[in-house]
Amino acid sequence: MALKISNRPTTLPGVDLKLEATKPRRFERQRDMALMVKEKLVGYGLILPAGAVFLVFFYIPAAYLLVISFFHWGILSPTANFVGLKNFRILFHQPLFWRSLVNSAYYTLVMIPATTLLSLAVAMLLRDGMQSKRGGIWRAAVFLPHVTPVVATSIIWVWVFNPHFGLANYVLSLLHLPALGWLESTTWALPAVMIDSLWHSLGLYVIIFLAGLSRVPRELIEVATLDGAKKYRIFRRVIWPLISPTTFFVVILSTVNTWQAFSQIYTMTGGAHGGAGGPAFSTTTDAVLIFQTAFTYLHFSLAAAMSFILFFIILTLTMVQKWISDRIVFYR
Amino acid sequence: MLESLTKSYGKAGTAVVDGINLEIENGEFVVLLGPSGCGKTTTLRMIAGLEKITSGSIKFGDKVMNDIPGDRRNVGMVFQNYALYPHMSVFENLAFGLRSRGTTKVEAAIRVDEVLEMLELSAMKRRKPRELSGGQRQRVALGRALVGRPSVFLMDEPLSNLDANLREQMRIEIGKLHHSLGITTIYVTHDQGEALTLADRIVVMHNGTIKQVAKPREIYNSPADSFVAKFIGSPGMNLTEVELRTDGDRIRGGEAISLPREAARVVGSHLNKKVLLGIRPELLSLVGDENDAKIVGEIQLVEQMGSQLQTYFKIEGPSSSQNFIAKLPPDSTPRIGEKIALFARPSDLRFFDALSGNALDRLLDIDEVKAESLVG
Repeated sequence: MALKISNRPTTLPGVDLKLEATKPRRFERQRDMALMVKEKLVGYGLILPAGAVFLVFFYIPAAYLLVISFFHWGILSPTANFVGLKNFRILFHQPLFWRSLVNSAYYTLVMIPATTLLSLAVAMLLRDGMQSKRGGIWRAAVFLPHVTPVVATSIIWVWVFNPHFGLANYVLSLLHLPALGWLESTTWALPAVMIDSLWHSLGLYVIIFLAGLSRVPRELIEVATLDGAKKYRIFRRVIWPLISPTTFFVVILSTVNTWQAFSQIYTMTGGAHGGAGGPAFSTTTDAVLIFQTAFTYLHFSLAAAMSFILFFIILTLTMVQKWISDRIVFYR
Repeated sequence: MLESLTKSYGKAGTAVVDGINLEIENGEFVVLLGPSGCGKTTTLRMIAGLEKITSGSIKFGDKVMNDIPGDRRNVGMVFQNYALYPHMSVFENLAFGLRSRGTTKVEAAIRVDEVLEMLELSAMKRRKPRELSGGQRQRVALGRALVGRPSVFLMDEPLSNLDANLREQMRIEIGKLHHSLGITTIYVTHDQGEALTLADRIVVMHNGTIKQVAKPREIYNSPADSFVAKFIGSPGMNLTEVELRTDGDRIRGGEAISLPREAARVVGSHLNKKVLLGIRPELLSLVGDENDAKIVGEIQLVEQMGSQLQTYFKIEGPSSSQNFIAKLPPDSTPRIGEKIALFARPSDLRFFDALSGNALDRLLDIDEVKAESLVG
């Protein structure tokens, strides 16, 4: 093996000594090259399956989506005409499209703080029991809803929100509050869906927060305690800044998930009977409208244009969040 | 003051700290020393109020502290990994505690600046911990513990994350700091070098109990038992089990060990019984006479240590052979495989009970024995 000392001649003080870099012999260079090529091939080979799945199910459809958004095309018509930005123009003149954006924004604006704060609160409660068996049971209980099928649990939530014999109104009556129309009311249908979504997704975010909290060194909490800081001050000044990367991640993830929310809305607002998004479009979010445009009304190119807009909105939001986070998130 | 302090875990009640008693004077520098898992950190954490006490009591002065939360005990603690708030500047790290306790902003700033100046950290004030070197971080941790003007200073292996040079430097700084401030300090370490140099008194712990509490010199010269003898010193004391019998004008412990006759008075009732004989490696010498204890063995390995040759040799014990270490002068020429005879002053020999390991009365200085025998 050739020993490389330095590429430049090195002189020691008082000694006229030159150490020349030893050149690797030719066959060694060839062998090194072959090794490098082999290593690269193995590397690419390893990411190939995942890469192929991504390419076929994500990149190609995404590119195709962008293309067809510039055409006039329904799935039943044999030809597609290039229409330029006409699909986008149609959308911008379509009140329902704007309504869906407002609904999505409303849904997201409520869901992000709600999921973030609630999951952090639950994670803080579960944190102390991290090591114990009972803690494990609680963690499992919190995570369980997340692994249940959305469609099945949403049907249960439809019962819960039934205005006449549902559990939700029963609880309200116990609190001496007036009964609500829930899924039959234009005001309460979306909040009802939010409650279902919150219940379903909370576990995931709790686990993410628990992972973040477990990385806050115990000594820091102890030092802060000895420093005389009370619980809230420890949370606000020590824990909160240290888990800010986790919080940022949760916010991004829940933004993406809520803007794309579909299954709960579709199932709870009567998707099975073709009436998803009701009553009176009060739960028609972007994702629901895209689905209906494409698969109920078969306007594929219009739906593609909408998807593109949705993608653009989420991208912009994520970039804004990233910009904010660079200023407030503390990375160690 | 610690009274029968005990900490046990789990349903089985495994005691990690098992009824220890210790009284610490005001302004004293006490080092809890022991191998990992001996309960020293747990003891410190109980004193800090970070760990609940299973039984016994902790008193500061006359006041029982058992149920007083850590933040009201007025202790300053330095953790092994510094535990600095990584998102706060040096200044904020120090000010956090003061502000938590309601000190005004102005007052806190004055006190923090004072401490930073004392620790020569003023220039680093605005830096975050990650922008500091290990030694600087350590000083910030010290500063944070000091700024609250604690009545007790607790340090949990504060130097173990530093490299050797820095460790020595920080050790000196901690010594100076204690000298100038005079705050009662309890310092946990497994490094006997730190313990011997820093401590007013050392508490040697093992398996949750205290083995010996004494001044460093006494711990080194007169270990209370065979564990302390072996644990203190680098390398520790040579120990071998022997059965001492009179043989003419000498006392013999098997083939390898022979003691002068005068030793009989001190070994006394332990003659013809099994005891552990101990001798420190640096007290073995190549020269001696009939007044000295003589140990013979075969050289196994010689390590060049610069100022001395660390020589490993095997001596034949009654049942098995035993490895001994001697620190020989650098100009000597021990060779592997060679037979070697080493001498020690009888007053440097230590004897321990073979079963309990407790120290038997120290062999009196040979001159005293001689004097007494002359009088007798």
